[in-house]
Amino acid sequence: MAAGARPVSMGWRRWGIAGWLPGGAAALALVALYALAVAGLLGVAGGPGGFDPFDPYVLSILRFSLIQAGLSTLLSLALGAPLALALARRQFPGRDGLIKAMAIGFVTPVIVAVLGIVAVHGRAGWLNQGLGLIGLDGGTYLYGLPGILIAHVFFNAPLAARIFLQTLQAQPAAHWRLAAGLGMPPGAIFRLIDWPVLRREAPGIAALIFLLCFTSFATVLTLGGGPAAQTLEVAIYQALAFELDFQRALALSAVQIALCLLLTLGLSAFGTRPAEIDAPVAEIARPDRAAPATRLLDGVVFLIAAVILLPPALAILLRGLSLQGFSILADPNLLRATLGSLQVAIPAGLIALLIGFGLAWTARHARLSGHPHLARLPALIASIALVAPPFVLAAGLFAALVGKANPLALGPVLVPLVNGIMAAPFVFRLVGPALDRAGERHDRLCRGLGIRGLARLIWIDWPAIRRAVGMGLAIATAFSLGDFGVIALFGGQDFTTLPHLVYRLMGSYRLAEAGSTALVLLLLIGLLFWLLETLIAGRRHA
Amino acid sequence: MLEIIGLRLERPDFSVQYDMIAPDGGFTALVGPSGGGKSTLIDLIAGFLAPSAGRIRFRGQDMLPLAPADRPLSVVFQEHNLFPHLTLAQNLGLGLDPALRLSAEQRRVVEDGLQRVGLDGLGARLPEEVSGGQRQRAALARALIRRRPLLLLDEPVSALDQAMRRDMLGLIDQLRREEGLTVLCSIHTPDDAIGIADHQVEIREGRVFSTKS
Amino acid sequence: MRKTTLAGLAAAMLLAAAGAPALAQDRPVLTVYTYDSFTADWGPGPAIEQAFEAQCACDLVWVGLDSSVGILTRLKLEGPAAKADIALGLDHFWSTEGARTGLFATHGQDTTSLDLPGGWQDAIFLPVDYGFFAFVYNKETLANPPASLTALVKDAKGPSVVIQDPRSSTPGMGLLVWMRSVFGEGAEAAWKTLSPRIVSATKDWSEAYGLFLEGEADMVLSYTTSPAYHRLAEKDGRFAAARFAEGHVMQIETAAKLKAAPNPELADRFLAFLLTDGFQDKIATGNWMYPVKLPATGLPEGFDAPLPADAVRAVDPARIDAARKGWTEEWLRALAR
Repeated sequence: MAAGARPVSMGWRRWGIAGWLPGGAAALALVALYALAVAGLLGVAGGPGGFDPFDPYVLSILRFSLIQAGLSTLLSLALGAPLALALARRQFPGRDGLIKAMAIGFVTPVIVAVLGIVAVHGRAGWLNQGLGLIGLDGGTYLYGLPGILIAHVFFNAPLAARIFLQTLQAQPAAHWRLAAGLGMPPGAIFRLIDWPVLRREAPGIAALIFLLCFTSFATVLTLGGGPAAQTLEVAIYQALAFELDFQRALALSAVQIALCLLLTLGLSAFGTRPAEIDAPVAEIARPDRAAPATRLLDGVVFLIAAVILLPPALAILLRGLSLQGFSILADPNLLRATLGSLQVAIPAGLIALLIGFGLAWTARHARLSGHPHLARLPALIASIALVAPPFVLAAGLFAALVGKANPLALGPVLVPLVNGIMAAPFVFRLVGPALDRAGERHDRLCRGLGIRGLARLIWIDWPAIRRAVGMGLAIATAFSLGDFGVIALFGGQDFTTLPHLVYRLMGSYRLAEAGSTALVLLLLIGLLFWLLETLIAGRRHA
Repeated sequence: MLEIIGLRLERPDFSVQYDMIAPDGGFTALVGPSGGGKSTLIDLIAGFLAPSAGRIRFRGQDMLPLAPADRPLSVVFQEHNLFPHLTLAQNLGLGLDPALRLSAEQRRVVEDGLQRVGLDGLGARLPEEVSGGQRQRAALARALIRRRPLLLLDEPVSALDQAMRRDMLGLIDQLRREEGLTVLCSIHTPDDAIGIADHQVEIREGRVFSTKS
Repeated sequence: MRKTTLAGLAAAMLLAAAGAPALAQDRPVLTVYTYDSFTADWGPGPAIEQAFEAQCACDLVWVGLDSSVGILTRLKLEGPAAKADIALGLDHFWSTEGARTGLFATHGQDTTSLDLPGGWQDAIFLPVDYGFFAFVYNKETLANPPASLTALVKDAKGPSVVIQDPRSSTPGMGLLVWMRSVFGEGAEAAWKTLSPRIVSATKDWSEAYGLFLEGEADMVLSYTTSPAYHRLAEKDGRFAAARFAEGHVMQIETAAKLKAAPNPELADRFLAFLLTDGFQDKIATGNWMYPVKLPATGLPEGFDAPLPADAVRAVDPARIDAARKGWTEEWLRALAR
């Protein structure tokens, strides 16, 4: 050590606070908010009532929730993994755009996507029309489990594919040169290089998709077809919004959170780490591209994926592009709804970023400072935010605060807040791995030089994580743009968003305008995505 | 011998041209500044990059029409030579059968290879369980058991400390003599190659700057 | 972060702030909670607002909530701190529940000379419009609609229907009440028989109607006035409402004044306004329901007359309130496979 240099231990102490503070603050804030919400609802309900969670109806919903979520996850992975492999192998014009578009599918507002799915798979849908041409009738297969599965795969298979793709492409270039130099046949490349990666990433992706499908709301509501096909989330919403049975809502929420936490903990025993998004792209082409066997396989995979994923997207586009629909463009409501959407989505995105990033930062700090078991806590809290019903949070906070503030002003504050909390887990899962990697690379250097806190974030970590941050912010904001659940509780004429407008248009028989508004919403999401990813993430990439 | 004749690669942001000869059975060191074009030359010889013009001949045979796996050479990189989820023995086995279906005879060859580089008994270890120097030696062993006459090494010792660098280069040289290999080795610290390399080629700005024997 | 990013974010925030609600004005403000489609530009809301503001020298502010039941939910959540003067659009099936909250005051209006089938007794809730539930179909795709609810239920090869969930939708609850009224204790069995032909039980009316228009089902539970909308607003004469022999159940939408209303005199004036032409003549083509007091101009050209008294099934809201939970569970049991 050079003479006059500060001993490392002093820097370490101060480093401690900078590490624990963001996550600690985020966690405390979340816990406080949830506690307030529960208190608010209990206050209105007049105390916790007797509620039998083992009521046969509840058990049957539980069973259905688990079945549909499990099947959705399996199917999404089954399509997503081969699709990722095919994309990893093939280069074609528009590939980058396609991969970006796949992320958008994940944030497409449910009401928009469901209409597209109905247009394709419904009784009078394209598929049945096509079958009718050759004398067959598919009947009504859409409402119920099949419809829910189709919708979930539509949303989640592209997401799974994109995450798998990033990890597949994260192989060091040297590995591909080795494979080429050794003359590895395609089968061996899959067995020895790709499959270990897929197997390692699958539990993490599966956990995420399972939780998303388990807490699925709008999809199940529309395509479920009735009481036989409902999830806990739907039951909670019913209890809260329409049966005015707050005790039941709270009790069901507790069941849902407990169950999902158990599942998360169980899956994490497989040694999952959150799936990586931010990964360098290998420049050298994979040696198995040319083999005829892989060409055929990839072609088939692309075909299947196109058949499953493209038609609803097309239907959404076609529905929105009608002359009658375009009349909405002149309507001032459209502008108001757009501004309202931005008013909700941008703060929500920032809140999600603050919370998600704070949790990820502290999780990394726990790991790097020798307390890896503590790193589980932020992850756990992020999971709770993922599965806790937003309606309970929103309604509870509203009930708690309504005496203390103008109720009409609460909506514009609560909607972004709740949406932000809902989206925080995604930021956590996107930014976390990037932060971890940057940490692994530079931690000893930073500790040795005493670089900590904000300086470390700006100078050392930022270049490595900016892409993940950009994508996290984009997803969180896009999510909130398309959200309908929470705004339904608080929206009104003055405070309206685009999805809200779509519903109102539908409620007045104005389906063409609803379709065009949905298209505007999609365009806005796409624009925001592109803007945030480019501005924050920097260079263009796949 | 290895003949590089007018080998050119044109790219939008840079272009390189190499003319050089590596003596048969000798140890040729490639030296020069970082980013000078050493790695590009090795990639071209190995077949990972396709040249815009020029010829590569080894012992009279034109190498350009051959795919990387068919060229009479093996490559060892600076790092990431081993697949992290396979054991050292399995990684070596890939050199014999890229689909990793080994006969008992082949397994013996693997053991033998490990022994020759001083890694006997470590076959069942994973790459992360051994040191950097041991990993590079395993990569060297794999190149060895493939029995290709030309051995290319792209800064194989740059990630090691000085003592290990000398040891590793010494090992490479020993194997070269035992097997009669032609070795082309790019190196960042030319001093380590003193006494080992009998031929030195300096590459700067994508061109052969000077040669020494 | 780069400068462009910061600038971009700042611009976005400014944009968002520009969308903030307008500042309050000096005139007294009447706050009315109602459901969304009422206040939409294409609904009756704007015209009603104009008519009332012309005579009250006040500012009428709508707060649009997501559904009729949602109004009650919201008021329950807000409790006495609610800033609403009037709740408009409460379904009369929920009257007893609404009265139980203790949040509403008596309306003090004269309801003896209303054009409402069956008259009106409630002192707290004031009727503003009404409609009849009916199954709507496309005449071109369904040539022979069932003539009664019993026929619809019993015919195994009958038309497919899309309905609404009674827990979240007032028409859905209306059908539940209808089935109970016609089949009594046999309602659960009737639901079971109908169940295979129920394409979907959606969250609200708009979804169900959307599915119907997409061709997903032969019939949709809606109102007798829905075909009038298609005829008059879209010049589309393909749709009709099936008349059932057992009679149809009515939906009556009501308004009430909040006990804690910030502007009670203004609220009273609004309640009185509700029964005048200024409000009632906007209902038919604004909300596609029937006015409880026929305006001087009568009903619009092409609007069907309301169902005669003998085609209406009377139901007791108090009884519905008591039995609602049980009937819903019965429905759940019948439909859950």
